[in-house]
Amino acid sequence: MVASIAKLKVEDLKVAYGDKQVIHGISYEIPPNEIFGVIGPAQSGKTSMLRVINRTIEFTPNAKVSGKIEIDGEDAFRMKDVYGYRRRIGMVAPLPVGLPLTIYDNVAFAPRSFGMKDKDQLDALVQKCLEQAALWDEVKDRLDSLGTKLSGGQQQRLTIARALSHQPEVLCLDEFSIAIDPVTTMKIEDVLKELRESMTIILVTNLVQQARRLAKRTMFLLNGELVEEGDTEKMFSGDADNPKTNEFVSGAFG
Amino acid sequence: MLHRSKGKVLREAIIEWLIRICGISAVVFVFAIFFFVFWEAKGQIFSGKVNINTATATALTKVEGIDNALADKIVAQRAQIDPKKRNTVNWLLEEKVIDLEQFFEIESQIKAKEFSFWKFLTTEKWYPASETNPRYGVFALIAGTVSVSILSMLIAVPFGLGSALFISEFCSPKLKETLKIVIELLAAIPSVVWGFIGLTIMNQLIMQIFGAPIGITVLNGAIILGLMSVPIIVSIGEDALQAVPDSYREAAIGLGVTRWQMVYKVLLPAAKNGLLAAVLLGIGRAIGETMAVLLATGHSVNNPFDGTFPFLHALESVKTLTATIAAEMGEAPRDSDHYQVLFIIGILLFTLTFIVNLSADLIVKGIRNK
Amino acid sequence: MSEPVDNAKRFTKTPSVVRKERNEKIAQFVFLSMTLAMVLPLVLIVGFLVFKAWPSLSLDFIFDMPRNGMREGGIWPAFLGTLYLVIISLMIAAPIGVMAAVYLNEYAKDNWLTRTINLAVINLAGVPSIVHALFGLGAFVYAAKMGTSIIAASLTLAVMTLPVIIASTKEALSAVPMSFRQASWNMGVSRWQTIWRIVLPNSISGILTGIILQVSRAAGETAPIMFTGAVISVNIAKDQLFAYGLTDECMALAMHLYTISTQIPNVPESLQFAIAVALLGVVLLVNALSISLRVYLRTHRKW
Repeated sequence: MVASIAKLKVEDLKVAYGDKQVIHGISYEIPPNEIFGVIGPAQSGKTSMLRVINRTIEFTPNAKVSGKIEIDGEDAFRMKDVYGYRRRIGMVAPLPVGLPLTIYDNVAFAPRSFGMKDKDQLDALVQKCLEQAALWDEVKDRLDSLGTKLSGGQQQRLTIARALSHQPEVLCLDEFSIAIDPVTTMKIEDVLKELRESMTIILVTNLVQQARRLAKRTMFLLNGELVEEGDTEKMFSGDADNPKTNEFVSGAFG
Repeated sequence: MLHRSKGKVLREAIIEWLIRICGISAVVFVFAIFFFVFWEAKGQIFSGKVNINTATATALTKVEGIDNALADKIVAQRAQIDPKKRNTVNWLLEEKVIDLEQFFEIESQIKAKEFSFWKFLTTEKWYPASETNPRYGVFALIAGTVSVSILSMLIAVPFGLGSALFISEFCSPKLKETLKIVIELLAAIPSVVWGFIGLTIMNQLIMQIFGAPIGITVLNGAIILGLMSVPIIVSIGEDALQAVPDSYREAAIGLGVTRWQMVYKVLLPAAKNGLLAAVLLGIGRAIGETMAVLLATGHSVNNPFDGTFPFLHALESVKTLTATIAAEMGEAPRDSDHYQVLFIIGILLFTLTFIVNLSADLIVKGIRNK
Repeated sequence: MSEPVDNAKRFTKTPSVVRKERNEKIAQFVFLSMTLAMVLPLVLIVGFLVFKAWPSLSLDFIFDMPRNGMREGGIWPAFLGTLYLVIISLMIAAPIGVMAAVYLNEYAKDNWLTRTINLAVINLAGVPSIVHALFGLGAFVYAAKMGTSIIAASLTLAVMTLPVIIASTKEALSAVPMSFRQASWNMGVSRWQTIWRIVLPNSISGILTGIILQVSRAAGETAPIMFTGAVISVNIAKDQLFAYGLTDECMALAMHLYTISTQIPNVPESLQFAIAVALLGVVLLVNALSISLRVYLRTHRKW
């Protein structure tokens, strides 16, 4: 199924750190309101790609980026208000990061920094985000304890709640399950299935089966090159266009 | 969707510029220090000629045909012209205050006192306050600084490195914490208090132990400076030892050698650059230290080195470069020769410590890059 | 028939092992005594100073005016002068130093400018205090026409303490994990707000520890203030906290100790020692404060 207009359109994206080219020109489109899986072994440029999408790669001094990213048809690199743009993209890092603030402040941090001061509005937003991240029931009685004191799995859901706090249109998850237990992983997967209704999700994952469970379409990156992109079922069915894809999904390397 | 207000964006831009400016301030200050110390000494360095000032008025009377009255007149009239714009002696000639013969006489008088950097460095005569014939040779002052620094390092280096080894390798974690705090406190004692200790306690001790007539000597200053330099050597040296990977230690111990063998066969070679940097920084501190040596080494311009045994006479008083500036700047009127020469000593010290610190930094960086 | 194995002999130390163990003991003993040789003076000196100063020590000593050509009485003008110099110099150096460190740690790219700044900081830290004095004299007293004054002396002290504040602040900032910054950037929070709300609150304790240490350094320095603001004797109003103006000359504890012990004849010994103890007390107290703050914070980390 091809959506009417792509939420995110990437054209000939190239990234280099100094002399080292890590992404060699990839192009793809992500339709709105679906989960888009990205798989590939380590060092294949997955994290760099996400950092380009939310433009935090600009904090890396020697990074060079070329190509084009369009969000809703708008050129992302040309947007003047980079902070406003970043808020449209939610990002969840591989390792859970609880900021050394209270749980409440963790979630309220971004809205506050954009000028939301009204207490009721903030309360409602914090509750909504924590509920969406399936964390509310566990922490609702200790919102003023430190975010860093939560368990790893809870911190990862706190990270997701935080990413939701600025109401993004696209949510990027970078190997979110790498440091948490399988039960929590399943909980978060359920969360993602619900979030899909209201936003576009890019799921970079180290577990190929996770992509199969969740993603409608999947992209396979290898050494900074796009090997194949297409319907998840087709890619995992064993008759993908590229033999490397078949090898990878069946666990021959990676 | 919420947007950041214009005012907020503007405020952030201003703050970020302020931060940038502050970052660059360190460079500005280094240049400013260099510039101003040079600026105050510029008369001596660039013109090479001494001004005719009150002190040299007496010298002028030695020139044939110039009596006291004329000398006073020259000095008085000179005060009215801008010395920056016109050379005083040329002016005297143009205004026919003096004739050509007297002009040459004055020129030769001045020539004798002309500032030469080589002469400045290599002569021992330091008579800045002389009415008739002030001379500025810093050799004895350099000898003073060198003697105190060398002797203090002879004390501080073994004790500093020994303590660093003990703290890093031979003691329990709890003792280590305590010792590090003690060293930090030792480093915090102000130099004027160290000087006071030298002047009162060490002075008495040296006089009693060695039967010396005076206790504020090279030895006194060296012991005080040694104690002051130890903390810096210990803390940098300990860092260097900690930087040696534990796998080296484990490998050596695994081979069945004792800890002491491990230390001098494995650890010392591995950490030798860092230890060298520690020693260099200790030397830098010793050269630049002022108040302690001012109080503890006595006040006589004296070269403690000579050809007779033991070559360095530690029971003599000396005056160091730093102490000279501290003691004499108060008496030197601005822009007098004496004043400018003291600033040249400042340049000398700045350059010296610059080189020492730079080498220490390069050595430390060398380790990190390896 | 084989020789019966002499078990006692089997576990006797060979000469080489004995020698090794002896060397080890000697090494340990030598290093221990070297360390003690360094630690003992501190204890002995402080003890001796306090012992000698005992007859003159009292709380009034700090708050009294000097009398009889500074041969009797207290040290109030010097104490107050030091307080002025320390507070003003750090009010100047601390913001500049902290912001410079923020620039170096959070903004600076790895280019020639950054390398130059780092080099400048290192060399600025190594400049002898007497050269700072010359700089202060040339730049603030004469070129900026401040005259010998509290403000000129404070500025000189500020330049002197700046590089150390930069270094300690940088260390405190770099102790904040990078992931905190990234998490904040990911939410579209601006660079400065990330620094203001995440980095600084989590490094403020380390930054403060470094600044407090410079309080004790600024209080103890004599050379930089000798020609720029501190003088032998000033008459000030008694019992008044704001007795000095910015452009006044002042007395200072460190300078006072130098003056009393070299420039003024017939000063009773206990008075000299009491001034030394007062200066040492101030400095060590401030250091102890800094150390205990550090220890406290190490045990109360938020992450």
